[in-house]
Amino acid sequence: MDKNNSTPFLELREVNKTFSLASGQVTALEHISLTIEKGELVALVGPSGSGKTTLLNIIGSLDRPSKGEVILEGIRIDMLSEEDLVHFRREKFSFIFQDAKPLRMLNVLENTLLPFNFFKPKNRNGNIKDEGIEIIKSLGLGHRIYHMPSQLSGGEIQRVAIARALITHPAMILADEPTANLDRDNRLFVIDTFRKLSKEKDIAVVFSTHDLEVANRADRIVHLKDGVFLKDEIISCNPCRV
Amino acid sequence: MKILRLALLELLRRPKKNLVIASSIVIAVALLTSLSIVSNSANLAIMEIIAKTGHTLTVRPAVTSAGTNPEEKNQEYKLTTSEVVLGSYIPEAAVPEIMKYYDKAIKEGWEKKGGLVSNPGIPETSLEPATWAPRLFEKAEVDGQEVIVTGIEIRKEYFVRFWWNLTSGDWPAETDVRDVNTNVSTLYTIGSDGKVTIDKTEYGVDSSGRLIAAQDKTGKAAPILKGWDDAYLGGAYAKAKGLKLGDKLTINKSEFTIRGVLEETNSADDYMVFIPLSTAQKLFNKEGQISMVSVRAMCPNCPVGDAMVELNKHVTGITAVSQLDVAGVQFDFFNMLYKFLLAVIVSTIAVGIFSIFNIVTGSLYARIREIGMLKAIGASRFQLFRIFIYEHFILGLAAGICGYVLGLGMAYILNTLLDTGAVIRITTDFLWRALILGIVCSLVAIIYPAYKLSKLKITETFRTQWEG
Ligand SMILES: Nc1ncnc2c1ncn2[C@@H]1O[C@H](COP(=O)(O)OP(=O)(O)O)[C@@H](O)[C@H]1O
Ligand SMILES: [Mg+2]
Repeated sequence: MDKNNSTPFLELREVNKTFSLASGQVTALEHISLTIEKGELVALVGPSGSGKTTLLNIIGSLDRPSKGEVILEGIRIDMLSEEDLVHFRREKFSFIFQDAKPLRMLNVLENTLLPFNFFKPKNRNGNIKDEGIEIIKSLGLGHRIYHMPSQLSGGEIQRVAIARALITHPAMILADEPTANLDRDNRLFVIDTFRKLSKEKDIAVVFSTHDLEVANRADRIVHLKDGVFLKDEIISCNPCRV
Repeated sequence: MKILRLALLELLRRPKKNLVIASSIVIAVALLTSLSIVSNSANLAIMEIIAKTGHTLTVRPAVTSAGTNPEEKNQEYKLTTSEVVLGSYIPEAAVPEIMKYYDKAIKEGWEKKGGLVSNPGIPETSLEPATWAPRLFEKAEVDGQEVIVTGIEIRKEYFVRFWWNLTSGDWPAETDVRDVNTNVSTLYTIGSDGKVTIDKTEYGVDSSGRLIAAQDKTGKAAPILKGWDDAYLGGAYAKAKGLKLGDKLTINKSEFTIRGVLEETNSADDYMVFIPLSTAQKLFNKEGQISMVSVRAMCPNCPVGDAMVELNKHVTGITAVSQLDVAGVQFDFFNMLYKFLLAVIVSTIAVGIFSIFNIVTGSLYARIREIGMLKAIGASRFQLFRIFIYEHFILGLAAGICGYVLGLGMAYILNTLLDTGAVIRITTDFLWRALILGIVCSLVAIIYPAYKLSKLKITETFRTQWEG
């Protein structure tokens, strides 16, 4: 952990999240305090219903905490308006979902560049298409650039999602169970890619999983149970090789 | 543009569902388009009849056996304006007198109505003298068959019968036939050089009964006078005989050249052969005589009825008829039918939109996770909303175009089924209306669900994903 840095990249302070349902209140998260630094690869581990998705959503500003603060680079993102958040997310975050279906009618490259249908890339000097192709190639999809999603395997589809996450140069990648539907080779590929990205591009990557083999390849494992921290474990074998 | 492209791709991605939605819209648009076209065409046709007959009075010789009862005389006989009267005549010289009565009656009737006071929109200058066109009907041998040949002053005739059109050929040039307002006894003048004046006496029938061309003053045979042997054919007659522009035609023993073929007007005119009045008078030995005069009133809302009554009262030997009410009755009938069908169609459309609404809502909710994904990668609410709107705009536009084309076809069928007798008339207005209707139907179905869905929070869309 980066102890010399006075402001952490991301900080959660005493975050609580409750959902009101017809049947009553559900507490999804309680007293969560957490800091995450750039370049860190963090795994959220816990049984189903332990609050992993809720925590990722709050970190990624997709949801607001019921109590507590979420601070990214010194900004209280839980206080931003929806409109500001749209711009903020475009700039800072990329999301990868468990069942990340690319758009069926676009090819791999177009899916990779999909975010730029909605906003312009910032601070680029190269051609954005070339960069997309570079990213796709770096993920081992060089032979799939112009293929349609229907022609891809599950592992390849998840790589398209990673490519799409990378094209925007995010400061942080949030991935909810990105390996859940993959076979072992692909699981390890995804996690090794995350690892490489966090180190080479100084991106903070937070992902949830219940797969310990995957989790063990992170820098850090945050264990959740019933919305509270069980433990925050720093992995020593870095990088771990099984 | 990028959003539009995404919308288009999304649209193509669900061909079946969109086809169902589109076809309901196509049907709605087609029904409304065909109904509007047919009713509009029928109304126009009827209004034309009203315009013709309502403002046109036919003056014919009084039939000696009938018409003694003045009550009967004043009735608006349901006769067509082109009804053929054979065997009785009005002296051509009487026409100016008849017209004097007519104009006087119109003016008085106009003033009685309040004239300018009750018709503030109509300037006094619009009360122009009526124009009139004489006809001479005679049975003759045309190419060996008995046909009704009608002598007309061609320019006057098509001025009065303003609904006349040629499918081929030309109307005679101005100087070819005696001019509208010249004295009735004047015959041809040659216009191009202005020198040759043709006198009646130089225009005759030769020993074999053939009408011969005029000669000029120098005694030399003039080139065949432009116009004297012109023939114009009713559309149905030309069609039946296979005659076309430039063909020759023998009437009794004289040869005529076809200068024009008339569009069919669903009247007796369609079966007639028309030649210049002066030629006909000479050919049939009826100089100075005509069978009838059609008078076209030159003001809107002219009191033609008043004129009719006045003429029948004051001018002996003639009967004036008008046919205003026939068309009026037809007009009301078609309007009722139209309103009834419109009600049926509109309620069908309402049901249709409701079912579209359900399909659209269903297919949108099936896209909920995709919506969440797009939002997560940076699509704003408005951008998402635009995707939906564009999709349905394109869908509605395409459906509108198809509906319009289908509606055109249906209009012809409906027109035949309803037997309106009208010619289908199509204006770009119908296209616009079809497109707007298609787009509106399509958008109405999407706007609310699109609004709701684009407003959904990303987390909500993904929870729906887990639960679904
Ligand atoms: N939008 C919501 N409305 C109501 N309850 C929710 C909502 N999101 C999460 N929860 C509840 O919060 C708890 C944590 O859920 P979640 O974060 O999805 O756990 P995990 O991702 O670890 O399976 C669960 O009890 C879940 O039912
Ligand atoms: Mg979860």
